[in-house]
Amino acid sequence: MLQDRRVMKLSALWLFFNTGCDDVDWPEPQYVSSLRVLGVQANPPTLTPGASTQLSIHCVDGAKEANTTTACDVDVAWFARCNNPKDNDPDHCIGGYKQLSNHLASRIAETQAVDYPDGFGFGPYFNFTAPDDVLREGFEAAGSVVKYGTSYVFFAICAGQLVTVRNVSDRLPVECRDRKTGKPLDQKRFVVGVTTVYSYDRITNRNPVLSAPRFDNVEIPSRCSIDAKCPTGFECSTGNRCLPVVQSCMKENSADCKEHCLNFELGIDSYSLFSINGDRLEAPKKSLWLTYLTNAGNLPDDEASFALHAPPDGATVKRTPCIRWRPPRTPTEEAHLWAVVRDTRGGFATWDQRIIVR
Amino acid sequence: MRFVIGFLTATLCSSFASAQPAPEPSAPLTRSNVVPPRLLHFEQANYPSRAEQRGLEATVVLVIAINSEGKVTRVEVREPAGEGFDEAAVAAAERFVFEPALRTGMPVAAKILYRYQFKLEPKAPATQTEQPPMLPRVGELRGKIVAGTPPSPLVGAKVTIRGHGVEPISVVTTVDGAWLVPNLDPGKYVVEIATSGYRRVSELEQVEEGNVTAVTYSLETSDELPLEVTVRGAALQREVTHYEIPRTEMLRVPGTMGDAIHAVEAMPSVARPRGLSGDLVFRGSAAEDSLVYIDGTPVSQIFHYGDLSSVVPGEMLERIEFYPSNFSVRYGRAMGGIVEARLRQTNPDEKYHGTAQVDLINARISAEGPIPKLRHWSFMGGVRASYFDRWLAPIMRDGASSEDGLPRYHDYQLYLERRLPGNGVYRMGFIGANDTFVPVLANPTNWHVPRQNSFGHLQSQLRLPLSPLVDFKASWSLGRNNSHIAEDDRTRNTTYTLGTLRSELSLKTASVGIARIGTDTLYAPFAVKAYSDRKSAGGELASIYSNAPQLTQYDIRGVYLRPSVYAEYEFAPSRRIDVTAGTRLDYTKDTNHFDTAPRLAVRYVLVDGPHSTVLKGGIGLFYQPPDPAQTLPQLGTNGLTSSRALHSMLGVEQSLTKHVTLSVEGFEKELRRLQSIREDGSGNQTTENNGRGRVWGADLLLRYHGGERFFGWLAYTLSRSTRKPATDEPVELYRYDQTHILNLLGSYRLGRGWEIGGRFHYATGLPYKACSFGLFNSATGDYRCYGTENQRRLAPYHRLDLRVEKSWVWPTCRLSAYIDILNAYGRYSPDKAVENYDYSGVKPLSRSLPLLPSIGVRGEI
Repeated sequence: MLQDRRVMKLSALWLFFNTGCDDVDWPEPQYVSSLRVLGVQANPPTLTPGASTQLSIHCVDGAKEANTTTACDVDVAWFARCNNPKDNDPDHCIGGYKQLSNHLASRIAETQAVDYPDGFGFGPYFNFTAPDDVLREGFEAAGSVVKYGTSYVFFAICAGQLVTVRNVSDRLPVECRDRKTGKPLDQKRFVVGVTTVYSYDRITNRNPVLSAPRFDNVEIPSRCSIDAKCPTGFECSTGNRCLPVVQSCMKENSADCKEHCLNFELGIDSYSLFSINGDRLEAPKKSLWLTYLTNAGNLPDDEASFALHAPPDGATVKRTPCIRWRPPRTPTEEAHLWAVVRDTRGGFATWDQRIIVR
Repeated sequence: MRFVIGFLTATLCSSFASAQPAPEPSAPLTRSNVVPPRLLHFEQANYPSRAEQRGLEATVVLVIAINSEGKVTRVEVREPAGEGFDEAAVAAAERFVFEPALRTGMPVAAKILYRYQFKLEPKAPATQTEQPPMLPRVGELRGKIVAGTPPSPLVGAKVTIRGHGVEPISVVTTVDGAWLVPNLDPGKYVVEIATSGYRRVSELEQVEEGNVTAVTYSLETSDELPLEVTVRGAALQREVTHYEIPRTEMLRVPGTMGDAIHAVEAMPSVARPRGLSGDLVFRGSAAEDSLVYIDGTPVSQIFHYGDLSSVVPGEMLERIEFYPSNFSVRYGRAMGGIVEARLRQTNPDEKYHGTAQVDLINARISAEGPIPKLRHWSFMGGVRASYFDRWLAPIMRDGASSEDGLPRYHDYQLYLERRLPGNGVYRMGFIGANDTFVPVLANPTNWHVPRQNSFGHLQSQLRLPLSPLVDFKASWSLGRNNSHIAEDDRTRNTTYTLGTLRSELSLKTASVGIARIGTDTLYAPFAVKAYSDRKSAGGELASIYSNAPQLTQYDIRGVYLRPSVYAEYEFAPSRRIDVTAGTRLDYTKDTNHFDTAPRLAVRYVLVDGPHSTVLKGGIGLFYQPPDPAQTLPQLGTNGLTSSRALHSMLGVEQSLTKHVTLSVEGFEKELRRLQSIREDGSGNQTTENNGRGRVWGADLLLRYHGGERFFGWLAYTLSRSTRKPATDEPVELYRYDQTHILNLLGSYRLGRGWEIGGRFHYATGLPYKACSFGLFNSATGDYRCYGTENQRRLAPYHRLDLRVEKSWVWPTCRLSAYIDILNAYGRYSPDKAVENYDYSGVKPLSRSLPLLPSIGVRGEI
């Protein structure tokens, strides 16, 4: 059609006027189509010198070869011993793991737990203890000086098997290989990352809590049963959970492609506490922000994240803004919308909302 | 009456006055098969009444243009006589009728010189009742000054008349070398002519009642001061590395769509910017290391959004001067290069002129002429507006997203000008521009303007020769700049007022040198409203490092003050050597630092004459203070100092023929104290002065210029530009490093108003970093480069531009139609490499022009 030809000819012309993102067909980061780490949750998120926390990996696997999206069949290795590095830059710690690798078996899973070197862990959970001398710096808050220390823990997560690489000092001493073929796996099946743990003398942080989810302004019940039915537009699934049911889109961005809204409450437990002489007060302000990911449909770029100010003035709870999500064209029983909330002192939480698309 | 070289002696006659038919016109030398035009009808001029009363006679030399039908189409005064004679002669000559000139028997248009004589006829003896007419008690001195071989009129030479008991009178020769001093009392006068490059002349002349004393002086060049006399030439001697694009060429360079400033991109040492950024990248320097001036006023934005037009129309420019490095001490605060776009003076013919141009992108209109009732004042102004978004948006709508936008802009200029005695000029004016984006979709749901920029500057300039030895120039500007940038949830609105004041006093010393002292001050009160990431106080993640940070509002006000003084001495110890030594002292208030920059430039004429060979060399220090955003209170960094560069170059200029010159030069820059940003594990960023860099290479420019039909050049640069961001980081290629840069262009007038041109541009592909692995940061949800960062190059850039123009010329107007085809073979040239969000891959992206034809029409009167 003439219009199509004109559009084609001029498409190169208008491309350079595009004020949005770069025009290459990379997948959007909000779209999960491979092994992805949503984040690492520390419980508790902050420490005092000598205290311990448990780190856990929150991952999803959107690859076609994965068994399920929400349960990751992975090897996870942890590398700690990176406390208050030079210039506060965790890269300075990587070279030190070369020596640590000498204590590991070729297949890391075969390393006996008793042989784990100090600062190393294997598995979806890792117990981390802050050193007694971790507090180094200080900042002013509420008329007082708060001492703090920063610790970094590296991790490697592999949808195959992790093997040890010896004599490397510019990266972690591990690589990921296919369990059957032994071939190296790329970043779609292998993620290397780092998480931060703060230690303070008088601030206690708590992980944010996403609660009271609403889908299209309808509160989603936590459970359902024969007696406690789901609201209209929801179905009670196996596992006794109410799941929203939506229509698939005939065509992306078309007028009939309805956008749906998901939001939550962030209760007072999402905010950190401050202690002076035993009195517990609201801590200095911190940022919380939400990001969203999905494995089906799409999320508009500019609404995939929100910034929230804490603590709320005069309110005990705060409701997050709506995230708009459009269903895919293909019906599916396993569309997921993940919400990830973070704060600036290591707090982390996720929510996995499964949606049925018909 | 006495003459050096005399044209005519006027004799007073009383009684009736009449203008006499002149002898046959003196036709210019023609080839043997050409017959000059023949006057068929002579028109009697009205004798100027005042001149008749005073008994004056005169001869006015005219240039008359005659078309192939024998009709007079244009009359110009070649040698004026004043006193109303010129106007009367022109009015009469416009009504002449000729038999047209013939070439090989065919009528053709021609131009002739014609001397129209005004002679008074003898009057009948007066009767007893008539009183004898009062004889005028004054006389007149006038003449012409020529120089060179063959003798040519000398423009702008100063003539001073000194007489006993009278104040000295100074006049300046006009475009035809003529001068005139009327109403002199009879007596002896000393006529002095003093002008740069020529021996001083002092002659005693006699003025008699009612007589016109006409003299012509032929000046001889001065062996001791072999400097060019033209106004343009004197300024250019200060820089050893300079390229100039004259007005005759700047609007015809293919590939620029008639935009004069884009023509700079075809010169040597100019690298290709990324896509349509509009950056000017000189000799491996960052775009922000170079400055662009419009008549001495620095402008923050020289190209409109979309990079298709500059903010000043080409027809308002006299020339563009481009210094890729080693520029004079009159410029500072930059380590890269300088572009100076010089506005031209208004046409001195006391007539109104205008230009209108319409093409697919924008339309503009400009006008100039005298200001009614304000003698010696004239104006020049114009306005331009783009509209391609109006026709392009409906075409793009199918497939566009709610974020897509198109640029829309306009610019405007208005100047008033007054010519001063002694070739001086005073000019004041206003220049401004506005750029924004408009949505593609008619009713976008999520549209916000991503960028907007506007500025407006008042400018004023004065150029005043104070004496034959002393010149004074001053300029000031006051302007307001607004910019709005919105990305994700962050917006920054910046408004600042920019004031500049420049002045320069130059003094010719001992007939071998020129000393210059000057000031260059920049004053900018600012107000920044920023919604930005806050820095971490410690003990937590800096939100600058996070995905969706908390935005803190900043309302910051302050003043940037950057004064400087400079001194320079340019001297020629012999006629072969020209040395310019100078130093500049800059103060930066926001860093509280002084920078001293000495510079030296030498030109040596190895071989004189038409095939001259000139060796040139230069060395100097150049400082650049931090970007104002780096030193903002609250948001900036304390303790920063100016970056520094040492420029050095060595080259040769060879005149091969009258029209062909070859210039080859090698250059090097050592860069120190470059600003680099370091980010720690919590996302806190600090700026430091520990970056270094180096640029080295060579330029070649083979140029054909001054031809009637053709101009063109071959420009080639071979260079390397590297940076070392911090002391503990390795040396890497600079992001604008392009090993080979080639421009080959030419434009040829075919005749009958047709002109064709083409330009081929080639540049090595831009370097980019490819990360082998990404590291996920759980604290932020982002990735950063973790594996090895290798430098690779994108594919080379090349493109062909073509231009065809057809002009129709009439006596009072000109109409042109043209087609510019940019990127004629539709080459897709990548400008940058875009990595995946997790650094798992990299793909090229092009933001360059696709095949873009532009059709336009331009009219001039």
